[in-house]
Amino acid sequence: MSGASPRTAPVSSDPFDVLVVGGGINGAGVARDLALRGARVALVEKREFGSGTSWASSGMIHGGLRYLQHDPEVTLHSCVDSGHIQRIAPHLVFRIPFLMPIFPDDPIGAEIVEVGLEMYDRYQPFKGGRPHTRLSPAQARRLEPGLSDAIEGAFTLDEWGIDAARLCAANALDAAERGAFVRTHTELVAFVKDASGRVCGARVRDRITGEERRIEARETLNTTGPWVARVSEMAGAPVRLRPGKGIHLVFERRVSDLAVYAKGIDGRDMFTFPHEQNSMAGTTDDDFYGDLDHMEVTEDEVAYVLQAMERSLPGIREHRVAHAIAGVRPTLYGFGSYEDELSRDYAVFDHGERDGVPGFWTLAGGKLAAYRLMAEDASDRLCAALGIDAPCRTHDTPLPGGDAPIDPREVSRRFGVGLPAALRLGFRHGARAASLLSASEAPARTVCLCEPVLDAELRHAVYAEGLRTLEDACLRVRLGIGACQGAGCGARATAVLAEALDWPAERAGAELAGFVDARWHAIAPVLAGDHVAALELHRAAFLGARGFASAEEF
Amino acid sequence: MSARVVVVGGGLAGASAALELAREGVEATLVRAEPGATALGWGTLDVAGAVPGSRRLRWRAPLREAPLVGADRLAILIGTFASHPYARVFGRDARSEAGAAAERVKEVVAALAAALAPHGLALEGSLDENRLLADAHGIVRVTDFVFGAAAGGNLAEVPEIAWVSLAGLPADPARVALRRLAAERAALGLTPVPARSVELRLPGALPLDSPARLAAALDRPEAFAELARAADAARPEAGAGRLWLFPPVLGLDRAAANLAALRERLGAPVAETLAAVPDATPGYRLHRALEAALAAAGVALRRGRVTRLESGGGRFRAVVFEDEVGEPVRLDADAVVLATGRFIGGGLRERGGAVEEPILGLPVVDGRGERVDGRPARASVRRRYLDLHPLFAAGVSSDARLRPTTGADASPVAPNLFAAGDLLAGFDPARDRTGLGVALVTGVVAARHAADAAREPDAP
Amino acid sequence: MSFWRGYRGFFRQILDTGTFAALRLQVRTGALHVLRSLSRRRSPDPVALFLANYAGDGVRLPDAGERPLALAAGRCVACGLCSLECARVGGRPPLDPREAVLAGSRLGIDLARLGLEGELAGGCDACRACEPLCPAAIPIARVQARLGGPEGAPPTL
Repeated sequence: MSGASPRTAPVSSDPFDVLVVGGGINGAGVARDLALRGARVALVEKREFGSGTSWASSGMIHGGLRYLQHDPEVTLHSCVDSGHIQRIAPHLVFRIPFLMPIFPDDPIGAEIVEVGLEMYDRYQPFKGGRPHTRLSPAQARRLEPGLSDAIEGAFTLDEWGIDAARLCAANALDAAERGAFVRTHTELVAFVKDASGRVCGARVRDRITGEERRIEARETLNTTGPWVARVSEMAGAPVRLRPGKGIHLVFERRVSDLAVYAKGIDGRDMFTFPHEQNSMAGTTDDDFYGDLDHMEVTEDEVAYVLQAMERSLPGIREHRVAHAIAGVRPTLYGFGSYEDELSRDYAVFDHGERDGVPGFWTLAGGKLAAYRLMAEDASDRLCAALGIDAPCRTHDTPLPGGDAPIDPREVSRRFGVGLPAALRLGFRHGARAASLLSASEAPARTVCLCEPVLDAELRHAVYAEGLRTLEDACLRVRLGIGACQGAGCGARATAVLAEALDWPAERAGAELAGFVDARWHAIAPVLAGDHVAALELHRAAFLGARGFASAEEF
Repeated sequence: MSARVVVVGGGLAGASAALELAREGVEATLVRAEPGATALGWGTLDVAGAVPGSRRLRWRAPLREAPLVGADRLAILIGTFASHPYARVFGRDARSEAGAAAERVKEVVAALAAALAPHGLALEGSLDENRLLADAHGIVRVTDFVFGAAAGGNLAEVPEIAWVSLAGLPADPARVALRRLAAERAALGLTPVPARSVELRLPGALPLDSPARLAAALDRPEAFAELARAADAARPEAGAGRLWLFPPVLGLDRAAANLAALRERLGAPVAETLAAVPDATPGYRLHRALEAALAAAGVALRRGRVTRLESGGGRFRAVVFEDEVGEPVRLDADAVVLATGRFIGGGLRERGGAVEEPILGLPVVDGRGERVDGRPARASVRRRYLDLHPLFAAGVSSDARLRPTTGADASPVAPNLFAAGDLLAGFDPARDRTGLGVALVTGVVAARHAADAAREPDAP
Repeated sequence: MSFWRGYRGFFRQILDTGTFAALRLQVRTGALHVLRSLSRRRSPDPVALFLANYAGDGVRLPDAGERPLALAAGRCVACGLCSLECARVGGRPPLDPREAVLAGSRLGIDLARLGLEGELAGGCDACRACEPLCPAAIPIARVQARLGGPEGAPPTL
C-alpha cells in the first residue's frame, strides 16, 4: 500500500486468486481473511476504505439484542463475534453503556423489557459485556442528568463501539501487509470475461492518475455495498437490493459517555451515543432511490432525529451539532416490509450457479457488526472453489496494532506528545503508535487541534497506509470533523500532504477546495446556534484566504 | 453638559467610532464584551481587497495584466453593490463619488494609523498602489492597507524573497509554501522570481512547540537576541537584497521593535507573512493596540454584555449592560452606536431555531433586503460553499446616516441610534474582502452622526 | 408502577416471536423474572451496582458542574486567542487553553479508565487572563481545572 512498496509495482503476470471489488468493511474483511489463508488477493476501492456505507454506520459492534425475539442464534453469533473483534482490535473498540428510559406511553412495559435484558445478559459474557441494571427515574438521572422527567424507569445495558472507517482501513492494511495488492481511488471500468463467458478479472482505472490496468483473477468478488446491484449488472448477473438510507447527526463533542435510547415519532428506536470524541444521534431508515454518489441530508431527517432525541433528552438541542452524515444500507431486496423489519441478512451469491456467470461472486447485505462472520463465510466458499484448504484465522489474529496494549502516558512522555494526542493515536494505531512516532522528526507537531491528529500520523497514513487524498484523511484519521470543521487544519494538512505526495500547487488547491465543499455539504443541514460563529471563521479561513492560482469562479 | 455617546462593541468599528467621538470632544464610553472578528484578522485592513475568482468584482483591468488599485476596486464595488455599506455611506453613483470615497477612506485610515502608531502597531498602505502580501501558506493577498509586521512584505516592491522557516516550529513545509507562492505569482502575471528557503535553528530553550508561545517569548530581549543571531548567521544562505519573510511570530507586544532591529541587523527588508486561521496573532495585536489607543484617547472602557437599551420620548436614553459578576449597570446616553458585529461578535445569533439581533430584536436582512431573522440559520444558506448565502450577508438595515431602520418605509428606529461594522447588512466580509474597511469607515461616519444627534437632542 | 402496567405488551411480544427456540428462551427467562420480582430480590442500590459493573471502564457519575461546563466548552471556535494571551502572560499549563477546551471530550472517561487522572493537574494557575479574550465566553480556567481532575476524577467535558 505504500508508495514504495512492491504492491504498487507492476502487477505480476500470474493472475490473482481473488479480485475483491469494493473496499468497505466486507471487501476489506474478505481480503484480509483470504490473505491470512495464503490466497493471492487484489482489493480495489473506488474512493477511500469504507467511504461508501461503512463509515456512515453507527460504528457499533453490537450483540443483536433485537434478534433475540426472532432468532437467538443470530444474537449468539453476533455476541461471539463481537468478542472476536474486541480481541483482534482491542485498541479500536470503546465501551458504550446504554441507558434505555421507559416512558408511560411506551407500548412495552418495564417488566417485559427487563426480561429481554435478562435474556441478553446470558449472551453478554461472549462479548465481555456487563449485565443490565434496573433504575428508578431518580437513579437514572444520576447517571444521565439530562433525562426527561416523564420517564417511569430506566435500564442500562452494554455494547461496544468502534471507528468503522478505521476498522476498514485496518483490515485492508493487514491484507496488504500479508501480500495483498490493495489500492484506493481505483474504480471498476468493466469486467473481463474469457471466451467461455467466465469472469476472469476486471479493468480498473486509477481515478487520480487516470491509469488503467487489467487485473486478472481466478475468482472475482463484488463487495460494493449499495453499488452491488449496479456492479453485478455489469457482469450480467443482477442482484437486487433494497437500499435504505440512514443519517446521523454528529455532535461537536460527547454529549454523554452513556448512550441513550430514544423513540421516533413513528416508534422506531434510535439513540444518542458516544462515538470516539463525539456523540452521534440516529439513525433513520428510508428506502433510497437517489444517487448513491451524492447523498443529501434533508431537513426532515434532521428534524425527525432531533424530535426523537428530545423525548428522552429534552435539552438535546442545546448541544452543538457539528455536521451530519448519510449512508445507504445495502439491504437485500424484500418487498412489502417496513424498512426496519427487513433483517440485516446477508448472502453470498455464486453467480456461476445462480446466473450462469462463473468466476463471479457477490457478498451483499449484512451489517457492520457481522462483517467478520460474513467475510469468513464468503472466504470459505471462495477457497473451496479455489481449492485452498486453510482455516479462517481472522478471529484470533490481531489486526495491526492490536497485538499489545499501549501506555499513552509513556508515549506522551517519551515523544513529548500531548496526552490527548497520545490517547487518540493509541485508539487508531494501538501498539504501533510508538513506532509511528519514532519515524517522525517532529512527533509532537499537531495538524488537527480538535481530534487531535498529529503531523506524524498524517504522514504515516501516506507513507505506510497508502492515503492518497485530503478527504481520505477525514475518514482515516478523523481530520477536520470537530469544532473547527477543518478551518484550523485543512490548509495545514493540505500542505503536509502536498509535501508527502509531491502535489503541484494546482492539485493542492483542488484538494483543499474539494475538502471544504465536502465539509460544507455535511454542515449546512445542521447549521445552527453556536456553530454559525464557527462557520464565520471557517469562511474567513477559506474564502477570505483564497489565492489567485486556480481560484474557482463565483 | 457635554454630549454623551455610548458605543457598544470593541472591535474596529466600535473603536473607530469611539476614537472619532473623542476627537470631536464628545464624552464617549465604550462597552464591550468578548472580542469578535477584528481580533481574528490576518493582518490586512482590506478596504476593497482583490477577490480572486469573483465575476462581479473585477480585480484586474481587462487589457493590462496588473491588478487594479484599491481606489478603482472601491469604485467598482460601490457601483456594483447598491446594498453595500460603502454605497450607503458614499453614495451610489460610482463615477462621481468614487474619487470622493477614496479621499474619505484615506482620511479615516490616516486617523487610525495615527491613533495606533504610539502603541506599537503601524498601519501602512494606499488606495493608489497595491500591496501584494504572502500569507503563511504562500497564498497572496492583493490589498490596500496592512498592519505592522506584515507591512514591509510587499512582493510588488521586493520580488526576491528569502522564506524563513524556524526549525521545529509547526508550519507548512517551506517547499510547499514556495510552490504555492510561485503559482500565485504566475496567476497574477508577475515575472517568476525564484525564492530561497532559509531554515533557522533556534536554541532549545525557546519554545518551538507553538507559534503563540514563541511569539510571547520573543517579546523578551534575550530570546529575541537568539533569533537575531541565528538570522544573522544565515545571511549568506539568504543572499543579498532579498526580502526576509518570517512566520508571524516575531513578538506579541514588541513585534514592531523586533522587526526594526532585524532590518537593521540584516541590512535588508524584513517582514512577517500574513497569518492564516487558526493563527490569530495579527488580530490579537490589533485588539491590544486598539485597547491601548482607546485608553490613551480618554474613552471610558467598560466590560460587559449589553442586555437592553432604555428609551423615552422617542429616543434612546440609556444603555444597560451586565458586568463581570452579572450585575446590571446603567449608562446614560444621548446617542448610541451599535457595533456589535455578527455571529462571532454576538451582534447576531441564532437561538431556538431563529436568527435574531439580541439587544433590540431589530430586523435582520440580507443583501437584497429579505428578512432572515425569525427563521433558522440553515434556511438562509445555499448548497455550495461559494454561493452567495443570505445568512452571511445579513445584518441590520440602515439609512444614509447609518441609523438602523425597520419596516417597509425604512424609517429609523430612533433618531439617536446608529450602527456600524459587521452588524450592518448588505455585505459578506469573507467574500467581498471589505470587512475591516467597512468597520473603520462606518465606525467613523456613525460616530459623526451620533455626535450630531447627541448634541441636538431635539432634532428629528 | 403497577404490576400490570409493567407487563404491558406481553402478548404482542409473544406473538412476535420468530422461532421456537426464541419462545422457549423467553418463557424460561420470563418465569424466572416473575419469581424474582415476587420474592422482591432487587438490587438495593442499582447505581452502585452499575458503577461496580463498570468499575474498570472509567465510567463515572456526572456531577452538577460538568454538563454546563461541557456546553460552554462546546461553543469553542478554535480561534486561539486564549492561547495567545496565556502565552503572553507567561502561563505554561500542560495543555494550552485552546487544546484544553477542544480535546476534553473523551478525555475524562479515558483518563479514568487508564488510571491517569491527575496527569494533567497543575500548571494552570487559574489566573483567568485567557477568559476575556474568548469570543464564546468559555470559562476556560474551570475547564483547565476539570482536566486536572478534582479528587482524581476528571469528568467528560
